[in-house]
Amino acid sequence: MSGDVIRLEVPARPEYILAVRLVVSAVAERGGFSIEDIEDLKVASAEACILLMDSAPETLDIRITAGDALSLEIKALGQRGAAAKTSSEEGLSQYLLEALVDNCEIRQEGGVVRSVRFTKRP
Amino acid sequence: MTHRVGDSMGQQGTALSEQALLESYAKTRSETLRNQILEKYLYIAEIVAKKFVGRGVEYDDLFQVASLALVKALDRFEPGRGVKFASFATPTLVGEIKNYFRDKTRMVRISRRETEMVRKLEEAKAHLTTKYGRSATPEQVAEYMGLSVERVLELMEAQSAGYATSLDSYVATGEDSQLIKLVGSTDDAYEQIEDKDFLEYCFEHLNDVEKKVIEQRYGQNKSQLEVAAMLGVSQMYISRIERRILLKFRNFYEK
Repeated sequence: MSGDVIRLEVPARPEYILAVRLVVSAVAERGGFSIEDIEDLKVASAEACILLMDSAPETLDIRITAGDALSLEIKALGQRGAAAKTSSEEGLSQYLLEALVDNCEIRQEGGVVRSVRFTKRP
Repeated sequence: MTHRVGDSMGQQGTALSEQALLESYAKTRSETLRNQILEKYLYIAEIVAKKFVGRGVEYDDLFQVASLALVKALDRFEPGRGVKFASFATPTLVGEIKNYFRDKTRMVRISRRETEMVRKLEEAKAHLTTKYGRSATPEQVAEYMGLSVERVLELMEAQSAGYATSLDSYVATGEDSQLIKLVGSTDDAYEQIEDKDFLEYCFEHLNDVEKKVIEQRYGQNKSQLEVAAMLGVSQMYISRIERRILLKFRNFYEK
């Protein structure tokens, strides 16, 4: 499954985080990750979504690349309303992400997070 | 390039006072300050613990582990390095929770292959019970599953290894056979009596100042500095007295 790409676009609403988590766990399971690592990936994916939802996008574009490692790139697309003034959960999402995955890039545009990328090796 | 989102947000006023609190705690290590800071940041433990719910450990336990980790993080935190406490503490909390999972699951870990076999064993038992109209023997199960009897028994063991046995469970039929009543332990009451006796003996051989120092330092938990102020002497003097008392105690003990 080296280099396989799985793409997913979901409405940027909290109720779809579960769908993202499930897809990520299914792909990670194929990639030989341990149960603990899969759980970490699920939490990390959810945190990335939460972080992106602060910018009030229409949709989240998720791209999972499954190779020797599992990479996720999530982009915020469109604009549904005004971006949140303060980050939810006091910015902890970012720290959690950094603690759970191997490397993590959080990109801001105009003061809000618009894309998150991270990788985890099994 | 990583942008730290949290840093630019939050109210400036509270951020400043939190920073001031952390700085003065780093200098004084005062318990009052520590409690004050921990209360402010306990929400981190709460949020992080919630993220790990659903992995086989209760939220309350996770929160407990996370809270303890928060204390550890605070003690290791060096303000003035330009890192926010939340950013410093979160990895510690995550690490401690993951250690907890590892330690906890090590006790009850069944390999994935074993889990699969246990599930098949369940199916086989159910199938055979229906077929024969009574509970199947391990031999019947072994034959049905194409395994040795030994392997079946092993699986049955693995099946129950996933659960910790309650101390309140009964090990035999009879009234007083709860497991907890049969597990032995060292009775340290005797040792306590001896210790108390020894301490009383030593105390009789101390002068008034020495008694006072012991009472204040270990009875009232006062610092050397506080006791020194109380007696109108230097802290060095208290320290010397303590060493002298210790020496006396040791001499008595060796006798």
